[in-house]
Amino acid sequence: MSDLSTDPQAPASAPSAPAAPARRRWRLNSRSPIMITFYALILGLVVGALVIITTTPAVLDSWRGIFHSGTGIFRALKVTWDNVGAAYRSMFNGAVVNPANLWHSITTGQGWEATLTPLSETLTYATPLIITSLGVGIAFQTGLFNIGANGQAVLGGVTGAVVGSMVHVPMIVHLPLTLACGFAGGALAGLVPGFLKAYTGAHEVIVTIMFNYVIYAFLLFSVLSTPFQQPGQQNDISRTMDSSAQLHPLFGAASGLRVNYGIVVAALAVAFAWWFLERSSMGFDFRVTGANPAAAKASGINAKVVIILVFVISGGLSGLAGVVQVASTTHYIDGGFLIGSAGIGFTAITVALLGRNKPGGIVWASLLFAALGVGGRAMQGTTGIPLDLASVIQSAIVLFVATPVLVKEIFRLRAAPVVKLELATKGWGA
Amino acid sequence: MRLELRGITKRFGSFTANDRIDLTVEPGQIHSLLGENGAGKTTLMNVLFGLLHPDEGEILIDGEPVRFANSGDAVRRGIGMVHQHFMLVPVFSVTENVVLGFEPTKSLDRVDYKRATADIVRLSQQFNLQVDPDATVENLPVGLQQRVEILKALSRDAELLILDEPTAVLTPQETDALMAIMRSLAAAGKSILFITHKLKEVRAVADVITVIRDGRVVGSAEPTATESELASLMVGRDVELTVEKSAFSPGESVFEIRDLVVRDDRGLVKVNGVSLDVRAGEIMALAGVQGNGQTELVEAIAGMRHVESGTILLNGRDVTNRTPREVLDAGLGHIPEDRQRDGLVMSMSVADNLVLNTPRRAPFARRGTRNLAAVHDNAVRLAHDFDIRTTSVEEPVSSLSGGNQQKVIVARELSRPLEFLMASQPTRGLDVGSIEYVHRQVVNHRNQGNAALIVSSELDEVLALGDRIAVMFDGRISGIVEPTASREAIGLLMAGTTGAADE
Amino acid sequence: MKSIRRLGMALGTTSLVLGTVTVGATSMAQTALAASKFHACVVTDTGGINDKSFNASAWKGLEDAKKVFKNMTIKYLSSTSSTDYVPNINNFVHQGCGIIVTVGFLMDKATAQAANAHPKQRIAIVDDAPTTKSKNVLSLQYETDQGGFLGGVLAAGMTRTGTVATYGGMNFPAVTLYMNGFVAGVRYYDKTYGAAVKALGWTPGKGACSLAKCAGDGSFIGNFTDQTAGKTLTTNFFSQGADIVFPVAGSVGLGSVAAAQQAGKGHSVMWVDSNGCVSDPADCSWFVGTVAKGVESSVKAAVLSAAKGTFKGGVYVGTLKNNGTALEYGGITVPKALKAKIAKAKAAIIAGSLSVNPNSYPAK
Repeated sequence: MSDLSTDPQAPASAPSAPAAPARRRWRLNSRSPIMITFYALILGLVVGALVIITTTPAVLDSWRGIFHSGTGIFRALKVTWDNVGAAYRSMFNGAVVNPANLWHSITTGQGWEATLTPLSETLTYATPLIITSLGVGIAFQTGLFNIGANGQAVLGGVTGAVVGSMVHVPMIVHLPLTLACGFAGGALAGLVPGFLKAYTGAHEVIVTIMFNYVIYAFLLFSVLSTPFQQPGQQNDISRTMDSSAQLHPLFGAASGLRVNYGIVVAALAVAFAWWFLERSSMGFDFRVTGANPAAAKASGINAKVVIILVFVISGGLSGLAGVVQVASTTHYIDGGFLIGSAGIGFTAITVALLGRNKPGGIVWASLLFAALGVGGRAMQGTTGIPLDLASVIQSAIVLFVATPVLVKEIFRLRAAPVVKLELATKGWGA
Repeated sequence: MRLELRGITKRFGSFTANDRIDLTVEPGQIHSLLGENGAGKTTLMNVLFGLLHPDEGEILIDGEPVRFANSGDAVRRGIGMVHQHFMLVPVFSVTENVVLGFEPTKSLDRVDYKRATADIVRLSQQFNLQVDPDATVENLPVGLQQRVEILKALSRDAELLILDEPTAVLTPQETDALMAIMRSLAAAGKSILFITHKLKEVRAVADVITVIRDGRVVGSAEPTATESELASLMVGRDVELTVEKSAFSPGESVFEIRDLVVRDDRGLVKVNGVSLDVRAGEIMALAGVQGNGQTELVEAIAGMRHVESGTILLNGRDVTNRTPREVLDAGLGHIPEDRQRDGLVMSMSVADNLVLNTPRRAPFARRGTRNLAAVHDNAVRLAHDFDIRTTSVEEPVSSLSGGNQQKVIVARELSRPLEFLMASQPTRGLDVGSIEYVHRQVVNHRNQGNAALIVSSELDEVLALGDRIAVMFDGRISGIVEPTASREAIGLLMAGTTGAADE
Repeated sequence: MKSIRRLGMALGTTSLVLGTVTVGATSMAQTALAASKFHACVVTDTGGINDKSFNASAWKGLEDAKKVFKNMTIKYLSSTSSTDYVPNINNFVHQGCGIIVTVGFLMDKATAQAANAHPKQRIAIVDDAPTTKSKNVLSLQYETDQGGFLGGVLAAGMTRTGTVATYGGMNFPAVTLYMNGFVAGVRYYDKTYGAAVKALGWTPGKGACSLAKCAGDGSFIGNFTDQTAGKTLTTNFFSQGADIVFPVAGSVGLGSVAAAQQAGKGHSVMWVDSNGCVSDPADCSWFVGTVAKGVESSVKAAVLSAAKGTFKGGVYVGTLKNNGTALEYGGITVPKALKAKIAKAKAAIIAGSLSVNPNSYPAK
């Protein structure tokens, strides 16, 4: 496209040659996705702080006090600092580790449960999120939007929980069967939109969104009107999965830590996704299709097959996430399972974007989102600041990641000329 | 307007795209800027049009130094630009496109279309730029769309017009018409900066020729200079414009189509009963003005378009309406017309693009897992064999110049076991060096006893490569001639006058 | 597979080591936090504390308790899904809350689990008939069919068209118990006072109703949020001749108010849970009354008992007698005679001499 980029005929003796290595390193740094994400995280926290300041009465009062009761600006600053600090401290303590607890545990050898709970909670939340986001990410890499990941997760959860609670076999069979059925449920939920897209050209965004509602309705039906409903209950609650179908806590139920064997499933899913996207021939077809459908067709890739397979794999992973969610935490399903703000299938879309649809990136993005969610909960419990602040920070991070130019501008990263060059020469031909 | 560039230098990092370029365009002059792809022509135009800022040097208009903060400044100073890819709104009328952004208004901010249309009619007549002001742009042929672009620039009182590769998208007839327009504009006192790499056009229309290479002015020439003189200036070496071919000794028929009928996306019959055969050791060149069914024919052969009736035989096997995969596996090598759309995945590495249609073939993959080392080694070897110039085969193919991108496709197709090579417009938009290279590869393929079908709208190419030349007009083969046929004879066939064929 | 199992074993061994260390550590952290002040904490369901429904009522109960018992801090955690219940409750256990209030039957299992794991933790659960009994859990239940019965009597006495209607958010006992009582009240009125008022929207099933089970068929929106659906359904009831509608569907009921406003004077709505004239004063003139559930008062009482050290697990049943459920009048004037009939029915229900089971008054 551009006659300016890596031109083999570029003169070797450029005047600025001596400065080149240093400049290149700087450019690499400031343009690298990891750094952008890091800066976006900082900006997200700043936005969060602004929200705290403008919504916490104590902070607002302290600033009003400067004019009314004559309290000093330093007091106002201190109140602000204390409030924002307390919020973020409780967030960190609740999502990673409370330093006081850690010190207590190290010095006395006791209280490990309290010390490790935050990390355990973050991992517990991240586990299904990672798996769903992988599914969404694979679809994205193929150029397809799987907005139906949530419905697929719900159906996977339902099918998995049905098998987990109504089939009674030894664990060695039961657990794999349950997980496989969860995958199959999600894959089935993905197959329908995939088929419609491939053979009728129906837009996958519309179909998957609509299919979500179909599945939500099916969920309610299944927990209200079938033998799957908890016996003796008229409420929208399902049977409980057999112990042999559950993903048990890693450190035993007595540990009080909820982190569970689901992370083994997640790790396997990450390994699979990495192999699939980066190493497999089929994944190569998927990426080619995503990057250039016309070239994919000309190279002999069957777009219909790819589209259907993408939705089967993407949906299957979402379904696996759904069953992992049930099998690892509640062990039963209710009518609100994964619906509303708990819909990991929707969070997964942002997580996949944040992780740039790469398995490694998705792991980190999931952990970050899980930590913000879990930390937000702790913050709400200790400081009373609503959990929604965590969502604000999450959204702000994604926003900043999506607009790297803005981030660079704010942090005065002088990679700007490179960006401008790309923009200026786009579509100009040579 | 007299435009003068003095010592314009533009660097990107350590790379100098323009190095102390001096250039003067006199009023009423057609000044041609000639250079290979990647020589720095587009950068210079972006600087001149205010899209890039020079690191050194100055721009003078009528002797007065100017600084353009953006393209708006340039437009206000009377510079107009006709981009290679048109900047038009397809669903708007000609008038609406011309006035877009500079609408003449009546009271209450209403657009004064009457006045706008009158302006356009006046300009059209003045400069011989006939176009219906009420036509919708998307319904116009490419040549007329380009006129709308020129009108747009003129309506903003442009005194200097920059035409960036204006003939790349035009048919020969449209090109001739454009030349006439350029001459009439110059006669009216407008200055024209004409960017191209096509030697024939330069010689036909330019008053002054400046040749740039590697970002520097390497010389200027009079239009009387010969093509080979200009070509050597451009590429810095003597260029072979004809291709050495071994003696023609065709073998068995390798590829055959019979009575093929193909429709386009809108359901119109674009290929209407075409029969053709290509023998081993033969290059069949398919000539014709673009849009006479060549594209559909090629797509049908490649399995990318449904064949309504007729048969396609490759090595005796019927591959009619087979999938692209089956056709490729049957031994078709395909260099597509639109290489960036159909031939490459721009965001992927050179190495991946080199195995784009053979990702599962040994040794590139085993049991569904790709062997990246083999893919890399293959790329390094092909990059060497086919002279693909890249810093690394793991770079995205988008970082290569157009010629090198085409080499990637050529390397990929010719490195597979092939029965039959089909190349569509294989050298369109390439510089002289790359054209020569691609031609040599195609001829090598043929010299080894293989068959090839070359679809091209460049007469020179057809004549240089073809052992036989088929001419396509309005969905039919209007004639098949020997390469010794006169240009006039082929021209008549291209215009649809059948019966003039030698055979 | 083999390698996975080995990994599992390795992790399992670690867990044993960690497990032995952790014993007894948490209680210490709890007491450290709890020493100074009494913490009353509520884990809300997905609605959050601003849902203008049970979650809000529970939070209001905490706020009311704080007014009485000054040395108290109150906290809440909202759940975004059922997977949050356990961690939210655990979070408060770790913070050393003096009492944790959980809201809704969906939290039943999570509550029982936390109660068994922390036998000293005082917990109150709103609107639930626990499936597992725990000594440290107080379950707050409300026999809303008693209040609904009075609502039915009121509606039957007020209707001019001879038809009234009810509908629910979803077919759950917590919803249908109201509707069942409402229909019973209408039938009781018909039988006792020789009227022929029809009740649309709920056909009682066989047998008596409880918070765990209250079967029957009726009109349901399918959620507790879609006001448009509520409006459509209500308009539908109006066109079938009804003039009073009793929505048991949270904020969906606002759609019924809109429908009544559109249909004009003579149409009214019976509100549910908490007095409509208080929560939505602007629409007071369209409310004939409210069938209330005493969540606030019962939560407040539970919190205060915990703060004073008199907390006892078990079941609290809200009835007409203890104001755990009630009929409150709205902005439409009710004739004295009808009020007297209602008072009579109320007294009889409290005395236990009047059944609120619609099957006791077979429909004609």
